[in-house]
Amino acid sequence: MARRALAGAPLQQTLFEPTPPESRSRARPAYGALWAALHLPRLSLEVLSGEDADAPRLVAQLQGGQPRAWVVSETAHDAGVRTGMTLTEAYALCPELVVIPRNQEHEQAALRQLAEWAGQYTSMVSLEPDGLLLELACSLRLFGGLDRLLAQLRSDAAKLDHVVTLALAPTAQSALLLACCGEPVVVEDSHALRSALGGLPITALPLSAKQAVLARRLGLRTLRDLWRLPSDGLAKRFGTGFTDYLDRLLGHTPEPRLAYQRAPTFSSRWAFPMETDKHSFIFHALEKLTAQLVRFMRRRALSLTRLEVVFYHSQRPASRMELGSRQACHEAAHLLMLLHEKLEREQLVAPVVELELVVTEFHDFVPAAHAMFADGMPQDDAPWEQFLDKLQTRLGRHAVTGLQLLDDHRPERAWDYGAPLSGEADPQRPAWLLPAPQRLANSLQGMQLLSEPERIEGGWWDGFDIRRDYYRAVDGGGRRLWLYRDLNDRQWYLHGLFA
Amino acid sequence: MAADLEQLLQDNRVIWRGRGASQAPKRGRATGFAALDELLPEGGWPADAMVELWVPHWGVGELQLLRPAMAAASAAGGWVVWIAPPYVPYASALQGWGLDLRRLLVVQPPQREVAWVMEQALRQTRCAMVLAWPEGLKPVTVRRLQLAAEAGRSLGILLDRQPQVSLPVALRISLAPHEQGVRVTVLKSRAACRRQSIILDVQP
Repeated sequence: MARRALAGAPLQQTLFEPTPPESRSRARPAYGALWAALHLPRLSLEVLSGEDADAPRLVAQLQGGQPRAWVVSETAHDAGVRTGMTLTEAYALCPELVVIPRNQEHEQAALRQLAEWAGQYTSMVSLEPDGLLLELACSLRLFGGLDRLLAQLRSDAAKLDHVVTLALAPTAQSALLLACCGEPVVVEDSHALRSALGGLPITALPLSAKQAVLARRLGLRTLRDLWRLPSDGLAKRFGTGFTDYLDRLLGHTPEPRLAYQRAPTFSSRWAFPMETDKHSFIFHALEKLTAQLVRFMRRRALSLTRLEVVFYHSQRPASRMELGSRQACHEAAHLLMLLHEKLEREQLVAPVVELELVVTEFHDFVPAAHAMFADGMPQDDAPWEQFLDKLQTRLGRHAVTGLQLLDDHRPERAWDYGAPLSGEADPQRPAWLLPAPQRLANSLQGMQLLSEPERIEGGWWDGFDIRRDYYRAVDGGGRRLWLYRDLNDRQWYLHGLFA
Repeated sequence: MAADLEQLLQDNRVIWRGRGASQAPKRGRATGFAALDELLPEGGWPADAMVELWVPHWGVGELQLLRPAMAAASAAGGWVVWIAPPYVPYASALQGWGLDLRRLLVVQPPQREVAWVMEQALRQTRCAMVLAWPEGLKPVTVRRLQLAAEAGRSLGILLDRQPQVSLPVALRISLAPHEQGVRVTVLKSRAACRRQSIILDVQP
């Protein structure tokens, strides 16, 4: 009897409270996504420096081969300047207009900062050319529901330095479209999406010029007109790219998006049990930290060209040691060799209490390419690059150079240290050049001129104007000299040696 | 047996064979001057070794003497390293010599670091020739450089103006200016002990 009662007792009810029916209906299905689009219509203006913000300003962008107004400031808007105008039209309406070319790098940097800010609401933040997309469905429980989350997002967005339009929809494209049209609506349900989008003008869609003309000819004004047309006919007239876009807009086909990932940085500290200035102790600490760094880089397939060691002292401000490598580097042995060379030459200002290894900039790791059918030894540049790194670390960057030819006929300007380039060869030149021409005190005494003069002149265009007759000569000791006579001051100068 | 012995003697350059220089293996690098190749016991610049050039003063044609060897090394894809040159190397002249400027490295270390840089460079297998203008190298340092040259299979050239001590190099040559070019005198060679001089016509 007792056993039957036990077997019949429903186990779930004793362990879990049954969920009330009303809350179940409120819970959204696991696959439903909610995208919030933050559109920044005035981003191009906002990233400019703040000087004379009241002046009528215009950010210009090349459109169809000529610069047109991209974003217009309020004062310019009052003067009648509109987005999409040519610059001539804009100047005609507002003569004191300040035109600034669009700087997309600054915009992207501002967007990346905003993406960092948006990371507090959701882990899925996606970058758009002039806005952000936030997937909020995954954060609803954490923030206590959509209404609270939206309220917080709106109040936080109002504190930003940017004008933000926020729209919410079940698909990323529809949220983006709504935000771009300046409709701050919230569409939670995917069934309501068609009617919510229906009122938007068809020109808001990313149409090509040809498609826009076609839409006008067909009498399509709003998206609602599109919904009424059969999709196979649309695909025939507008192309499958367009119907694909509509499918993504309405959520008929999924659209995976790339999440914004912040650039990795590495920082690790090592505390000494007591302050020390012994290089062996410090190097031991650096070895341990480098091992951590290499593990960090290997896991993420990264390499570095620059790292920094910060030394903390007890009663003084921290000192730094910077280390550069010519090529992206990911090996512990090479890093340690560079650190060792650098540390040997580093004068510590005071005993070190703690040190920190910091890398703020990483590069992608590019593995060495090996030829498939190479016979014999592969040409491996790595040891040579490491050798150059070693020299530069020990002697300084300026002490290790190549030579390059410059396109100039004046001897002082015809060469430079630095990365090699190709240029025209000149066989009649000496191998040695004096760092600066040396005036011959007693003229040509004991020397014998060996050649006809070679006139080198010119350079008024860059302020280094020369007029010289160059000769080859030999002196009493048998040295072959390259002399010139300056035609301006009639003096003789030694400029090189034929070694 | 005799063949084995001959082979051993051929391979081992450390064994000195008296004045039988004619039997020494001709395994040096061509200097580009037939007369000089004839004169040098190894048939050219000694392979993987240190060479010392005594020059009364810079500009008698010392680089002209090394020019064909440098051009050949750079054409073969090896690097040529110049350490502490006394003047500015003039790029367009070097280009005209057939030296690949992309394979030329100019290092200007402080004088006390010259030997270190030279050893590092000689140890590199990608490096074919190292020219250095050092001051006051010690014999023991040069011995170390010689080992590095053997390890890296590269040719090291020391250009010296006021030689004070006898350095343990494989070949020592002195240059003197001459009306028809430059007089080259072989002062010391590890493969033979002939003291001979020729006049080479090197024109800039």
